[in-house]
Amino acid sequence: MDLVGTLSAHRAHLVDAFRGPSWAAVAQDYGATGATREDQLRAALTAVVTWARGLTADPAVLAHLDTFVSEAMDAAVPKTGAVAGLSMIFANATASTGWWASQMSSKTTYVASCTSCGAPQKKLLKFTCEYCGLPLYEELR
Amino acid sequence: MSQELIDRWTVFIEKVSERLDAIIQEAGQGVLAIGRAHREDSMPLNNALTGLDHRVRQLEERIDQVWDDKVEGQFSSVGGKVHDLGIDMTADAKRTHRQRWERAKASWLSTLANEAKPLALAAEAEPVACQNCGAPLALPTRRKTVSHPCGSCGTVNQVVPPAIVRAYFGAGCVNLANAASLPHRHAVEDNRVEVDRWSRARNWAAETVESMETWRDLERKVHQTYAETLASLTGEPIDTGFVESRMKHFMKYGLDMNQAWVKVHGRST
Repeated sequence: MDLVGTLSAHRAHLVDAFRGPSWAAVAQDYGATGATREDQLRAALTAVVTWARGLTADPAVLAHLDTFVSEAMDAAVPKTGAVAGLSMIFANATASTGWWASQMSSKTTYVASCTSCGAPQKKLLKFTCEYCGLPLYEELR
Repeated sequence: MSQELIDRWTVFIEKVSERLDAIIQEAGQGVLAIGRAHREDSMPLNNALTGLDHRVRQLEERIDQVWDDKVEGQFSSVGGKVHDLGIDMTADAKRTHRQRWERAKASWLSTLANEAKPLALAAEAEPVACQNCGAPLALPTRRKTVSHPCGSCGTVNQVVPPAIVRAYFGAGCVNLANAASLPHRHAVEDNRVEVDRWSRARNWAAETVESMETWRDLERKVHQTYAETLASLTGEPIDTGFVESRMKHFMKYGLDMNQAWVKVHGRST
């Protein structure tokens, strides 16, 4: 078996073991350590690449080794399909705050004043001016 | 063969779970920052949560998609309990992910509400002057909009609560009450799954009346906890009408539809 064939065999062995219950023993065989199964698999694949680089100077094989780890990881670890960054969500969330802030008033107390003479409302629910008798909210014509 | 299948599906679910962890970790900092920057305006926070909800739903949809397109056929071909196990693993993953996300959101919103409370109480205590003569107004409350005649000049002042008071005693207290009732809501969900699997293991036996009574009590606990927590935070009486309206809906479209229940307890309405 040539080196590329041997690499393929290592890859198949590691990926299959990663998906099954025998992973811990296989990881130990390759001297792979890591906090998660994924880290251990990456360490094992990297060890294979390091070993293979010492056996060849063939540019085609070296190019294959450059992508060996990432391709094997993609095959072993399914993608979830979500995008990592959330920054756009937060950027969009605050996009209109300036406009709304400009429309809001910080004033919390209001007095209804007669549009005719300026006298204030004096009785609850009575919207006729006490002074001039015109409706408080009606515009002059 | 079946163990390998189960292991591969477990790995996939763990990957989605890690993805959710990453979203929760990253989103938490952003949500708290946006909430603190806009304490008086809930819109930026709600905009952010809507976007984040969508991102989390994408994970759930991804589980469904992979299960439907690639995995269920394999579990189905093994059949029997392995197929049931695959269905359960999928449903459990989606449910636990959603519950984790809801707990994370409740935690952030509770933090923001608790931080807003002292600010709201300070704003509530600030004196308000008549807009006509400047005399201090003796307002009955600062938590609601009131039309109040000045004791000095008689001018009617329309006084709205400060924005931070509206934010805390409105959305803030509701968020805290929702957070308090959330474990009970999740208990209802978990109970229904448990009952469904109990039934499946007994050739789809009918649910017992005792089990339905437990369901009813768990459901009431959700609404009762919400109403009691909200009342304790706002100082208002417990809204028993709210609890009963929710239970009426639950009974009408839940237990009253079950003949075994009706035979023992009769219809609720």
